[in-house]
Amino acid sequence: MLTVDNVSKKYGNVEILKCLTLEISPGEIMALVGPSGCGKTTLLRIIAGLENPDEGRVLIDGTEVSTKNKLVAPNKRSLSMIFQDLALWPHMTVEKNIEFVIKRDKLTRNNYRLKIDEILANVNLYGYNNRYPHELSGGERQRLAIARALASKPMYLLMDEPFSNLDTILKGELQDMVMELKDNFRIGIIYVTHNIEEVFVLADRIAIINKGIMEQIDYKEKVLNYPKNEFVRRLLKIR
Amino acid sequence: MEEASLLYHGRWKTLTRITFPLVMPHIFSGAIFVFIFSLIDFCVPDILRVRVYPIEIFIQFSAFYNERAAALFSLPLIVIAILLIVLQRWYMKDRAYIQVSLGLAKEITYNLGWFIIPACCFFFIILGLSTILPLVVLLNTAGSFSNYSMIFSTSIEQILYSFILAFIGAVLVMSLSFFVSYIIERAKTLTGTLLGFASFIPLAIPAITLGMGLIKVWNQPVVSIIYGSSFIVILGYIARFIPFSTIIGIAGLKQINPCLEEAAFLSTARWIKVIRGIVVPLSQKSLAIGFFFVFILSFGELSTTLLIIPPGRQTIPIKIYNLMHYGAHQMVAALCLILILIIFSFSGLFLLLYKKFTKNIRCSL
Repeated sequence: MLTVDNVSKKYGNVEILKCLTLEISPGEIMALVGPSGCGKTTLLRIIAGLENPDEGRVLIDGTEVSTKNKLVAPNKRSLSMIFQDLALWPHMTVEKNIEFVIKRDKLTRNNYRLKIDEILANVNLYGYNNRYPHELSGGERQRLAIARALASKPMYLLMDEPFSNLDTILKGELQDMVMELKDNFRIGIIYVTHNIEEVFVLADRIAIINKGIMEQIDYKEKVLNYPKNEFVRRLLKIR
Repeated sequence: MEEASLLYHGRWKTLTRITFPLVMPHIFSGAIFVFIFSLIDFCVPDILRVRVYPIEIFIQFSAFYNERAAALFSLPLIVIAILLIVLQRWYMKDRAYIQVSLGLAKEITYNLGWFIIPACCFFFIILGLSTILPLVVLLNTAGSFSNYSMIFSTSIEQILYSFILAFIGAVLVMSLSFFVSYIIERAKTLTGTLLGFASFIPLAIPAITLGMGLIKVWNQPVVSIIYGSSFIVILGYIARFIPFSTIIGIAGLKQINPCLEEAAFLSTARWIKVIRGIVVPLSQKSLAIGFFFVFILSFGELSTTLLIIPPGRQTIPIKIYNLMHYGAHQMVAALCLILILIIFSFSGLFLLLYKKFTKNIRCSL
């Protein structure tokens, strides 16, 4: 279980997050929805360990990983993140992008390569090993980002508007891929998006944030049927 | 950004309202650095026999052996230079307009129309007066081929010595300034700010004063091994050129999207692995440019080297300086032209390697 417990964050005098609380279990997809600048990305960064909260804490499986004075390194949290602009390493080939994040353990060179090939095959990028990210199409880059995020076998995956620049067909394909990941690997996914349709397709639960405050968090059917206030109603276009 | 403006306005308005304001802080910054560099320079005015303020410092130190007076004479220059650096940093605050996420911009080519004639005339007049004319005079002074052959054979040791010192200096300066610029750019804390300011202090100190300082520090019984070795010259290069390489390092790091490092930190990557695997390869361009820049500056450094060179050693600039004072103008001209040829060859080789090895380096997609 990943728990965000009463987390607050300020940049200067601006309060970005105010006593925010949420929980997510493995195998669950939670959509974080809210207008631009409401603190969604900041929350993901705090969960990932890229920033400290000013107040509150983050726990992973009961272990405190983030407080104001404590920060467990991002690579020791069993989580991964897909950034909004994907953050693929442009100087590395597809294979090297994957190789950088996986532990070689005691695998032989051959088995190691087989493992990379298997990861790439999972996202339909088999045979693209020696291409650079700029030689891939938009959809292929997204798939590489997903492959890289999963290569370290995380328990939780944070996705920051990963499909915002894709056409509808590609978006649909990738959404199916995310659903498969959830079912096959039982990964808990926190998914930031502006796209309400995406929310209804992917999410089990929805967390709606406005100006750093959690407006409503619940199963999507409940949110749809019982929006807590006018803001939620307007944001989700519920009549 | 220029293309967005071109949708609504002409080229002139785009240049004056968009391009120029965006570039202006960097032009201003460059002007301040050139001003400081000229203000504290000693070599060119000394060779041209123009009595500028830094020469007074040198006279106090080398002719009257009055270190205290030389140090006091340096103070106004240091104060002016520090004030200018503070002004530059204040002016550049939040004005480094770099688009990280969009990567390398596509080149736009403007047709200059009739404006190309005065622009080219201006360029060739400046180039002619500052470079081509002096080269022609040097060629004329150097005389026959035998002069080149003679001065080259007697200077090969100094050329090699200068080359080795400049090479080692450039490698050390770039390695050090890479870490300094990384801390300045990525650790936006008081430490980063202080380190940033500290790394710019050598820029404000006249080269002669820096040389005097190095002598005072290292000419002690315990550390005399450094004072008596070529390492003192390399220390001088580090002190003199670290501000320039740090500027280049910071500019390079600013173009790397921090997401790329964060993505690496999220995986099973250690700090050193992230630096080695992500930051250094993506900084290759700025590291290479910085290395080249420091190498060229070190190769021609005279002001500090003149004071700290170990006994029995000579770098090429010192040899030229001495020959000038002995009035061997033909030899000086020939040696200068040989040096120019060496530097051009090195630059050509560098450009070739730079293009080859940085072909696939992009800081972002």
